[in-house]
Amino acid sequence: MIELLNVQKEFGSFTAVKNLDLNIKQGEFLTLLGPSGCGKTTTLRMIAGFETPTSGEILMDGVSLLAKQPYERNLNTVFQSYALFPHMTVWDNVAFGLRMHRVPRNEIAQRVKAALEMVQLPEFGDRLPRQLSGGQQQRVAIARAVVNRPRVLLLDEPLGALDLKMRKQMQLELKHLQRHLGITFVYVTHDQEEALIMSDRIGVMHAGVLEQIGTPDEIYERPATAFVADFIGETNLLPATVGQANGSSVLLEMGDLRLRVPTAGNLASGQHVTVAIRPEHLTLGPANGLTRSSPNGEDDQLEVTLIERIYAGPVVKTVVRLQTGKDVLITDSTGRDIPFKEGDRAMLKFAVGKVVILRER
Amino acid sequence: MSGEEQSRTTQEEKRRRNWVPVWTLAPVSLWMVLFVAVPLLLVLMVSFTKRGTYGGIVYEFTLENYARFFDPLYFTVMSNSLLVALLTTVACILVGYPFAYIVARSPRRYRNLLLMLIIIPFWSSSLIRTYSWIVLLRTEGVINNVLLSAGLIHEPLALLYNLGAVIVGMTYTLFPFMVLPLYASIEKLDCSLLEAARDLGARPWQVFRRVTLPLTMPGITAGSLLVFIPTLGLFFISDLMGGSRTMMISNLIQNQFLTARNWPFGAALSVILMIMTLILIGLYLRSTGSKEKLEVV
Repeated sequence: MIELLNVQKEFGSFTAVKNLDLNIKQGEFLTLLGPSGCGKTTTLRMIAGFETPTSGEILMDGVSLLAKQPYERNLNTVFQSYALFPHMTVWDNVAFGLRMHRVPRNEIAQRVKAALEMVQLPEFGDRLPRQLSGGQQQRVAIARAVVNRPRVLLLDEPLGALDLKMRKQMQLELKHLQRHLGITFVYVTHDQEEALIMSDRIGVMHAGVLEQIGTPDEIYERPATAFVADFIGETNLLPATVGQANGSSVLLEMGDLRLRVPTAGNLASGQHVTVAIRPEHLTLGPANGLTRSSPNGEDDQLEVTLIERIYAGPVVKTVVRLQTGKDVLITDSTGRDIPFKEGDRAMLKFAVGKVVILRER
Repeated sequence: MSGEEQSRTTQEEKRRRNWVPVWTLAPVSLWMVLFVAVPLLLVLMVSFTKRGTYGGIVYEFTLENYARFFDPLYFTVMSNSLLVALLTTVACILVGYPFAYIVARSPRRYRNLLLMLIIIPFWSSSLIRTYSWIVLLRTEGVINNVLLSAGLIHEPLALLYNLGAVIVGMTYTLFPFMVLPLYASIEKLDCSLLEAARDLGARPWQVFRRVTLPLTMPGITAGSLLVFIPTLGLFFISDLMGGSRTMMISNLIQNQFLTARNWPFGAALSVILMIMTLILIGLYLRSTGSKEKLEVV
C-alpha cells in the first residue's frame, strides 16, 4: 500500500537513510527496529511528510505522496512525546482533526465519544492533558489519531516514556487495537522485545540501512547479518570457513567442527564467513565417554573449557571458551543441572539446523 | 535532657534562625522604604493639598485636584494617551511577533546574535535615538529627501509632529520589551505540537491560530504590559516628536510639575496614572493566574 523506492535522506553531510526500499502492506503491523540514530524515525517522518527525501519516491496506492502536505496525506501520527495540545481539553484534542476536516458537529461528538470509549477514557473529556498520567496521555494521543480513521497510523516510540509494567500492558492493547481497527500500523521502536511481541513484520535498520525485513520468527531464527543477529536477543557470532560447497548446502568448518548448513547464497569453498548461533541452541556434554561419531564427515561438537555459570532467574547462563580462545554463551532453563564446574573440560554440541551463515555487509 | 527542655531549645533555634532572612532583607527593605514608599506617599499626600499662589504647596486637605481631572480637556489628554499606548502596543506586536518567531526558529547559533542586534542600539541614550528619528522624519529629513529626489513625491510629507510620529518613536523605543518575552514564549513552544496540528489536518494558518497563538499568548500579554505601561509614562518622545497638538498624560504631568508649577494637580494626575497601571497589572495577573481554566478552541 505504501512503497518507499530507493529513498535517501541527507542532513548536510550526514546520510540518515540510505537507498531504502520498503513495501508496507495493507493492514499489517510493521515495525522499524534499530538503535537510536539508525534512521527509523527519519523514515517515519518522511512518510508523515515532516521531512522530504533527498532522493527517491514514496507512493501510497501508486500515487506519489511527496507533493502532498502532511494535512493532505491520509495518515496520522502518534508522537513520542504524545504532543497533546496543552491548552485544550482531552475532548478538544481528540476533536481537533475532525474540526480541521470540517466534519459536522454532531458527527464529531459521536466519533470523539466513541474514540474515548475505545481507549477506556470516556469520563476524561473535560480534563487537560497535564491532569492525566503518562499512560492516559498515551491513550488520548492514540484516540486523537485514530478518530480520523486514517488508512495508516504512524507511531514513533509511543511507549518510550512509560514505565515497564505500563509498557507491557500497552503493547498488547495496541496490538489488539490494530487487529480490531484493521488499520495499517507503522511502528518505530528501539526495543527488540516490543518489536517481536507486536509486529507482523519487522524491518531492522542500522546506520541508515534496512538490514533485514521479515516476520519476527524469521528475524530471530534466521538473522541475515551480524548486526541483526546481535541486536535481536543474545547470540554467538563465530568465524568459520566454508569447506565443500554443494548447491543447496555447505559444509562449515570451525576447528574440529564440521557442520552441514543449508544456504541460499553462493559460497565458494575456502571462503571465510561469520555464523550465528543462539545460546539456547547450544548444549554441553561430558568431554570423554562420548563417541565422536562422524558418519558423513560431520561433527556437531567442539571441545571447550567451562569458564563461568551465572544464575539469571528463568535461565542459567554458561560461558565456555573454545580452543581458539573465543568465549561462547550457552543458556539453559533453570533446574537442568549440568555436572560441570568452572575449569572443567566439556563438549559443546551445536543444534543442527540452527546455525545461520550471515551475509557480509 | 528532658523533652520539655529539648522543645525549648529547638524553639530557640527556630527563633534565632528566623532572624537571618530579616537581616539579609534589611538593606533591600531600607532601600524600598526610602526610595519607593516614601516618595510615593509624598506624591499621594501632595495630591490632596492646595496650590499656593506662587506655585508652592498649601497643606490643606482638598479633593479639588482629582475633581479637576474630569474636565473634558484632561479627559481628551487621557484618552489620547490610552490610544497612543494601545496603537504602540499593537504596532509592537505586529512587528515583534514575526521577528521573535524568526529568531526563535533560526539555528541556535544565530539566535543570540539576532537578539543582540535589537539590543545593541539600546546601549545608547534613548534621547539621542529619538533625535535621530527626527533627523529621519522631519520635512527636510532623510526620508523626505530620498523620496523627493526619487521623484516619488513632489512636496515633503508631514511625517513628524503628529500622533503617527509619536507611535513610531514609542514603538521603536519599546520594541525590545515586546520581543524578549515573545521570543521566550515562542522558543519554548514544542515543535512537535505544530507537527501534530499539521498531521491532524490543520493548514498553516490554522496551525498558527489554534496552536501557536494560544500557546504564545503569555508572551504576548507580558510584552503588551511591558509596552503599554511605559508608553503612558514616557514624556520626552511625545514632547520631541509629537509637536504641540499631541499632549499626553505624561506631558501633562511634566508640565504641571515643571512649567505650571502646580504640584498638587501633577501629583493627583500621577496617582491616577498609577492606579490605572495597577488595574492593568491586576488584570494581567488574573488572566495568567486563571489560564488553566481558559479554553481556546
